[in-house]
Amino acid sequence: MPRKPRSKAARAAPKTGQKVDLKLLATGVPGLDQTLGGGLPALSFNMIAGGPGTGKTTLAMQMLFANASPQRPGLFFTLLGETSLKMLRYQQQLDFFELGRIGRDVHFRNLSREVLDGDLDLVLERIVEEVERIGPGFVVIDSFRSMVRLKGPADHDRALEAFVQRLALQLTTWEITSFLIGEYDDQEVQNPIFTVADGILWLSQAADRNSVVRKLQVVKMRGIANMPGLHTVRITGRGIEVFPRIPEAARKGRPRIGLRLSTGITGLDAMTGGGIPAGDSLVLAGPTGTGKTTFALQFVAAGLRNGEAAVIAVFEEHPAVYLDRARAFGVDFEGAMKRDQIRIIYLRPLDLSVDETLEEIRASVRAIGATRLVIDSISGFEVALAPTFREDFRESLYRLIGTLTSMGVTIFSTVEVLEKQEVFQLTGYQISFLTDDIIRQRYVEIEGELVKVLSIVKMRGSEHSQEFRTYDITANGVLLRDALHHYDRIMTGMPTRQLRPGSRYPGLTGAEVKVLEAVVRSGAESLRRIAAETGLPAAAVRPMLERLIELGFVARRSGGYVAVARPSGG
Amino acid sequence: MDRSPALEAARRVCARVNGRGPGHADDDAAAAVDGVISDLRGGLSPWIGADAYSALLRRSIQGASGRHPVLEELDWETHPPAGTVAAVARHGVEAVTDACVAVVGGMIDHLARVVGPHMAIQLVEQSIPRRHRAAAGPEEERHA
Repeated sequence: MPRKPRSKAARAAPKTGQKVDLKLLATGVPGLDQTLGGGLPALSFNMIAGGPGTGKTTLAMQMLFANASPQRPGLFFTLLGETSLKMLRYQQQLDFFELGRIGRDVHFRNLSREVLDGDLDLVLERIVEEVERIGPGFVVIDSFRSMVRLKGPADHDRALEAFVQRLALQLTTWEITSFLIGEYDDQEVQNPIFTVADGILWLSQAADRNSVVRKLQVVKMRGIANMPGLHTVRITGRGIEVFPRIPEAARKGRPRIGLRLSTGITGLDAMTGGGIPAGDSLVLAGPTGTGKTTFALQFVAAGLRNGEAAVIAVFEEHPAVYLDRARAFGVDFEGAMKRDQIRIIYLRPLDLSVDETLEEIRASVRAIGATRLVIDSISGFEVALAPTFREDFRESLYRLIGTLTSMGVTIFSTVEVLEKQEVFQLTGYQISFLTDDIIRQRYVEIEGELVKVLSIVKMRGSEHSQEFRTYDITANGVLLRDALHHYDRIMTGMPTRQLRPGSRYPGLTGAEVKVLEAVVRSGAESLRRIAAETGLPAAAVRPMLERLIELGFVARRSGGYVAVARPSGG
Repeated sequence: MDRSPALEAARRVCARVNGRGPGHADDDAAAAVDGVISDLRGGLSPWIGADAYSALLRRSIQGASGRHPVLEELDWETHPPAGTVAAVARHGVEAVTDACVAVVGGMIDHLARVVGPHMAIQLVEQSIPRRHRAAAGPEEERHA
């Protein structure tokens, strides 16, 4: 069959292989390449805009150092504003500023006198002269706006536009990637000057009470698909770091592999239906003093025993306190840290952003291949955030948890609940919708004593216990005790005792009763046979048998298990 | 002899003046001084700005002129300074060389207080063409 003749336009169009290769340069600014959509297009003519103190010069300088080489040096022009001497003084404090490269592959040129003369043609001439002489591959001009301010407001914008247009042309023909730095307010983003630029990076900062938050927006970047929105920026001794908002790709669904992770607490795995489903996000919510951190530590310890790695993000207690507690439970966290099986991230700066926190956790999870993550606590995390980020905390938490679980890690978060005695909130944070599993702790008063109680509120896609179980925090960790079968109104905190017939084995879960009855029926049986009879997995039955032994219902005999005779009425 | 890093660097920078042996005309020495000051101005001004260069030079001359009166006989308003030939004739090559070293050393000192000694020495040394620094020997190579 004859092929249809191609249209004239189609014949004229270049084939894919003939299209110009848009090479992307690494900016040398952590997180920025990802934000830009892969890197900075080579030969692009860009602008960095923003108010004073937003990090414009540092950002440009960092990119210049990353891209300068003896063959294609970096050339930094200072016009007006920060003097060259001051810039050299302060910028050299940053790690990327390598003194040995100054004068070799990084050059500075001060054109303040030409600018003060007010002759834009002369400024352009001098720039071109230096570009021709040095042959740079990367040029920064700081700050291009200040010079036109000298000419007065009448021809301000027109003169600047013409200057920038001619400059862009010159730099492009010299095959240079360039940045112009200008002080602009957020309202000036529509300024026609920006139409010339291939890319615009907009920096801003906002002070809120005692915190300052810097942000970066890629307003445009021709040729590549950049990440939209505002991204947090932090300036440290290392220079600038950008924390991109969580990429969509990273938030796609997570694998559900059917694996269950032990909580490390005897009896709790049975209550959850066999452990926490791998890749789930579990929230343990309870009032102060209910042992949330102990639960979290035992979750990590169970992973360690299983050869898994874990990351603990601590927002309240100091890591040293964590290590002390773990030691008391006979868990060698310090050894695990030395082996890089555990990483403890301690975050309390009070001006954190969610993306920054996420990046730190993600890096640690990746670095040690962690399968377990503890966030202790969500309440502390919120306090550690800059006030501006607390406003959309729930949404941010949703992004954070979604991203981390999509990496396959199982999250165990704690949250402190301030509860009135008669009210039973699920988490107090209205974050139940973003977690897969919720375990709720609370205090109840029984016979004049304060008793700790827990219940499984939610285990997504899984059968779980419906009981309220009392527990204690002992020197060896969490010890689950009786279920409150004979009480009503537990959720009010002041249960009332109800004598009702039924349970022959108070304090045992339904599954445990099932196991016990199987043992009673069959005499001495192996674990395998009991599991087969009850229809439960052997891994779930084993801890139940351990607990039944602990409570005196069952004893080991000849490699099997037998029921222990108990006085009636117990 | 003062062995401070700034003065050591200044000596390397002024090596072409100092390096002239017997038999060279005073005019040559004066021209060498002119050359050093011109190179410094040409090399440093683009980096730190012409005004900053002038301010540094002025402070250095003020600081050194008490110990080197010959500096007051030169006209620093012109580029290069006028009067070097006469100064060499009156005070001798050594005195003019020492004055030149003091001025350059002072500039490095002042600059170092702002940008640190490493960068100050680097900026000043790279202002002088390599062929004029070669006479300084191995010390120069360490800073090149």
